[in-house]
Amino acid sequence: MTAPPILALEGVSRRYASEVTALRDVTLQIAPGDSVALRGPSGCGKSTLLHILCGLDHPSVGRAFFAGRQPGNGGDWAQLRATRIGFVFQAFHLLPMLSAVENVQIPMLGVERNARARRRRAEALLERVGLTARAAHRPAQLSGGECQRVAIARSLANGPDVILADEPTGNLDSLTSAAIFGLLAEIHDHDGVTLVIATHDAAIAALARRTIHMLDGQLLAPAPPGAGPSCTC
Amino acid sequence: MHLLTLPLRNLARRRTRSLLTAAGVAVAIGGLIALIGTVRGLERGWTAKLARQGTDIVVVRKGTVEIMSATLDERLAPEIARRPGVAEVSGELIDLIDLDNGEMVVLAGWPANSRFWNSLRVQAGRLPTPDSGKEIIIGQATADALGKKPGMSIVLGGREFFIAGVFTQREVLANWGVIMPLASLQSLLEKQGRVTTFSLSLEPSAPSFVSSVIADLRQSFPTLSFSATAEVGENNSMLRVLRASAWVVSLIALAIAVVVIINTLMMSVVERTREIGVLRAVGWRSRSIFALVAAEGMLLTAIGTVAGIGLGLATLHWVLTLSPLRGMLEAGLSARIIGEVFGAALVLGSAGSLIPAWRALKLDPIQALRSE
Repeated sequence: MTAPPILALEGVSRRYASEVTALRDVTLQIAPGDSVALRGPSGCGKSTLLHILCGLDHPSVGRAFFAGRQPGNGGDWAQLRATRIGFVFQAFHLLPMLSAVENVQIPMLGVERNARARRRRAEALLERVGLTARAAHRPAQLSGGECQRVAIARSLANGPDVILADEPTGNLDSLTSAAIFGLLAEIHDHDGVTLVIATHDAAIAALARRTIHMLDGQLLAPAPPGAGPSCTC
Repeated sequence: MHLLTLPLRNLARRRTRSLLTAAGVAVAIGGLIALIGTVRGLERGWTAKLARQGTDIVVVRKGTVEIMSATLDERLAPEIARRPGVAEVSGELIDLIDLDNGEMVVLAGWPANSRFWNSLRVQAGRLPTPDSGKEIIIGQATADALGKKPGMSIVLGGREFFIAGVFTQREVLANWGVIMPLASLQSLLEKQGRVTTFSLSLEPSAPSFVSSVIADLRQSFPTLSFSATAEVGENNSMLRVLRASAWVVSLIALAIAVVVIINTLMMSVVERTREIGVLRAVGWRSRSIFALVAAEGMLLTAIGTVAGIGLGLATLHWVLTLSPLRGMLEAGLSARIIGEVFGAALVLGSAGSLIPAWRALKLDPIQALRSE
């Protein structure tokens, strides 16, 4: 029996009160262990798509599924984000008053009761992203690349099945970007984590197993050789 | 890192604002402690003095608000003493008087045969001779303040009195007393035949039936007010007014403190909107966000309350040493009262946290993540 897609959207549209339509009738399936790049210009709906995939935002029309199940809008999604979905932001979004090792523990607070276990796991994750020596430093004392490594460690806090990364290299130089993507790729390969990265960087997108193009809130069909991608709807 | 790390760091991050908010709570709690402590001290000092004198029931004129201005006919004493269960009745005339050096002392006049004389611990000299008319005994605190000792004289209300002895008592109020035979004080105050209160001691079998004795007395003497010693403070109209005033002032101060907490937490929530969005994004539930903001409010309240209790006790101590209040009052705070204040403050602080916590709870995580 085939496993259901880990992430799926069915006819999803997202319209805001300001009449702006961020997504239009998006249907999408992502298999467990896949790595997907979402490509498109700024404002095409990549972030909204990621937000709906993790339940931070909800469709105006259509349905979102996680592992074949449609979670409720409240605690179900929060529980999934805490335990099965990691999120990496372009702007890192680390809490400035906490050290690196404390930031990594934030998602664990409601999940792992034992403070020592939380600390040990956070230290192990920082070691994995190469930041053991910076564990006690606060975000203001870290470089952009280091902050993003902490954010990646935080996304791994509770051993997720999926990592959603929204322009994770958008604030970084090309060398650091490559290193960050290398880290995400290593996590994908090693842990079998499903990876969905929103990016407008063609080089980064090329490293994903498949690329989904977006424009004006719609998914575009894969481009035939010598032509631009066409709309799927 | 533990659950309180985040709220503690948030408070430490805006140290000045957190300290000012805690200071606001501290001032409110300090005022509450000082006011309640003063009023309770009055009650406690009075009750303790009566208990030490063996008084089971206190009699004042019915409807009396300010006890010292009201008087009773001392000839009522034998009539009251004839009622069932009453062993002894002792009249007492009381007044406050300013001395030449500005100190205020309590003047008390006791009948020659009163059991009250036995309650005094004579430190130096002797008790006044009942018939002398000019002899007094003064409390240790009064003697120290005035530099007086037995054999010296003192002017009270324009008349010269001779100090027969110096006494000590556990109660601060009593130590600031000047005691003389009842007739002498009646003459000094021009209140011949009058007393301020009657103090009743009951027969050995009667104390367990104090309420029935009081019921009988109330029926027999409808113009008088009878209170068991333990209830004297509660039943006294002036203390009731003082107590109510203290609570009203304290509640206003506490209400202001709650508003300050709400304001601080609301500002904090607005400033940290994006961080709240991040917490939601990493899987924190709405109730955890609510608890985070509420915990900050409770921590602020707890810090302010602890500081306020210290401030209140220091203020109370300072007020009690001020002339002319020095010696008139004693602190009436117990661990229980302080515990109750602490508990009440935490409840109010929690209540004050609800609005900002609710606001944080209702934040749209996407909007929160986009906020600057």
